[in-house]
Amino acid sequence: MTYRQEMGRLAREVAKLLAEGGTVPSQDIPAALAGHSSVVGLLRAVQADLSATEWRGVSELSLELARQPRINDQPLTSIIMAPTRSRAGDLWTRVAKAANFAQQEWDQSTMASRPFGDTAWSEIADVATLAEAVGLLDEDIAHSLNTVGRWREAADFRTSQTGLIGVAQEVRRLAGTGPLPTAQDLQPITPETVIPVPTPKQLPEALEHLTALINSANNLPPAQVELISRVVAETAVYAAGALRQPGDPAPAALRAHAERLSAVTGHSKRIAPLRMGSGKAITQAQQIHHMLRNLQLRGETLSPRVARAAARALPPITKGLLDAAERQVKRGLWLMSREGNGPMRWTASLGSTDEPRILNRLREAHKHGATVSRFVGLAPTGSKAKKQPSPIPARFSPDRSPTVAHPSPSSGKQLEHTAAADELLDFLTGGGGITLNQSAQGPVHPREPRRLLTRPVQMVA
Amino acid sequence: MNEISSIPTQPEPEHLAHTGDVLEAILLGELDLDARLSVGAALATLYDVFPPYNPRPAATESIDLRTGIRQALDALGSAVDEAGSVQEAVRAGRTARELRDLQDRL
Repeated sequence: MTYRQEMGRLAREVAKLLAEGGTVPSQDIPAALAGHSSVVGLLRAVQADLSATEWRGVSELSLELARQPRINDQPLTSIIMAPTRSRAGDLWTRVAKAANFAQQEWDQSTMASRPFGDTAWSEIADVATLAEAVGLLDEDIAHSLNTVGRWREAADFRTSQTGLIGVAQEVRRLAGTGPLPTAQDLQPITPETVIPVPTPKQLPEALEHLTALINSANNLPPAQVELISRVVAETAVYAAGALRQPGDPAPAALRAHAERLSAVTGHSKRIAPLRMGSGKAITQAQQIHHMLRNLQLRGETLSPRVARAAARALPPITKGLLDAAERQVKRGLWLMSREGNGPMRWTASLGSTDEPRILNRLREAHKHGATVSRFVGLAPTGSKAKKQPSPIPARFSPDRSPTVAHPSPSSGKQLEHTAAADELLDFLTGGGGITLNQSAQGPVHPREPRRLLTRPVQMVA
Repeated sequence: MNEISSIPTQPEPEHLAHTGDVLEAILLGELDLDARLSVGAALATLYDVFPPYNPRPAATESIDLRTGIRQALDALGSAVDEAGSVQEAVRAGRTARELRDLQDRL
């Protein structure tokens, strides 16, 4: 079934719950919670992708959806397999299935086929309509939880209900002030392969392909973001080592970029991804890492031409990683650890003031990517050239680090590295696993300022 | 040009039209304030749509509240099954929820 067919099926099941009542006996509470959680997850994902297109005004709905409790007593597969004791329990199970199928269709669609422009309003209206229904059904779940003494969770549902209904109504009516054309159905992503990287010649192409895989991946778990960052940092250090012309600012910029990317490491332990993705991007990164590792074992280096081409490909990868991470945080697919928060230990981000630290590290690396692009594109200016101001930390500056020579057993050439770069390369390539040094998360600000809804009212002729 | 005729409208799905007829017929009868407000709210939910449905003749005969609610719920059940869009299905469900709440209070 297509995305629209799945959404239609979901809407019918939700409508039946509204009509017949969503209150369930104690045995069916896990089914009700799973159904509710699945719909909220779907709506958050679709809403986040749509609001990222053009209209940021409807982001208040995303915020209200993020405040909805998402409690899963049992895994979805257990719930689907288990018999239900009531009609409402059966309907909630069907809602869970339909919502998951719809989200699967949405996740596996190409970005290009997703509604954009005026057609996005139809999707926003659908999301708001279902969100309003979820808000109404919160009452039934709260009632069910109260009957089994789960008062605190019941209170969470009641507390978040009013805001969601109000905002969803507002967005639904806003969307209805203009025509709601039917959008074309979504197109599934065509399968993408991983490029083998047996020699350095394939490196630039493999890096560009890695960018494409990251950009087309709807889900990229935080641990994979860290590992890919690490491989990109490793590539930057290798490329820096290959660019040895005096006065070339690129090597120092690349090492500084590697340092920023290595700072991304160590934050994924406090993030739990809800979806694992296809794994193609990490496989491509692994291919690149193996080639670089073999290169190091043979004591060889990249040619300056390949190194420069590879260096050019790095900032877009950093940007892709940042975009992927931001998208998943916004969609509520990365849950953050909240120690000391009772049973709600893992919850979604509540907005821009409540984000995982990995985002800030990636933003810093992305910001620095502009420096890499600028310096890699520059021709070397020679040793007499005037020194350019650079944001590169002193620790990785070639002017301050003692230069050591490494004999190359295969070529007999001397490979120049700085001691600091060696240290960084050891960190990046050593061990294979990631050292997880976590620091406390930043303060939590549960509310963001309200944003005005901005759809212009279209006058009827 | 008549201003009203320039407003775009859309055809009303059969089961929703039947529900609307029944609810309007209920309102023609003797009702207490609670029932009148609840049926009115259900009608408002049913017609919370853009563009509005085509105008149709108003009901002329009243119908008993309990009988009317039963008929409307049946029609809304069919409307949900045959809904052409997410919004139509959920709107029918919300209307049914309001009527069911009223039915429980009777």
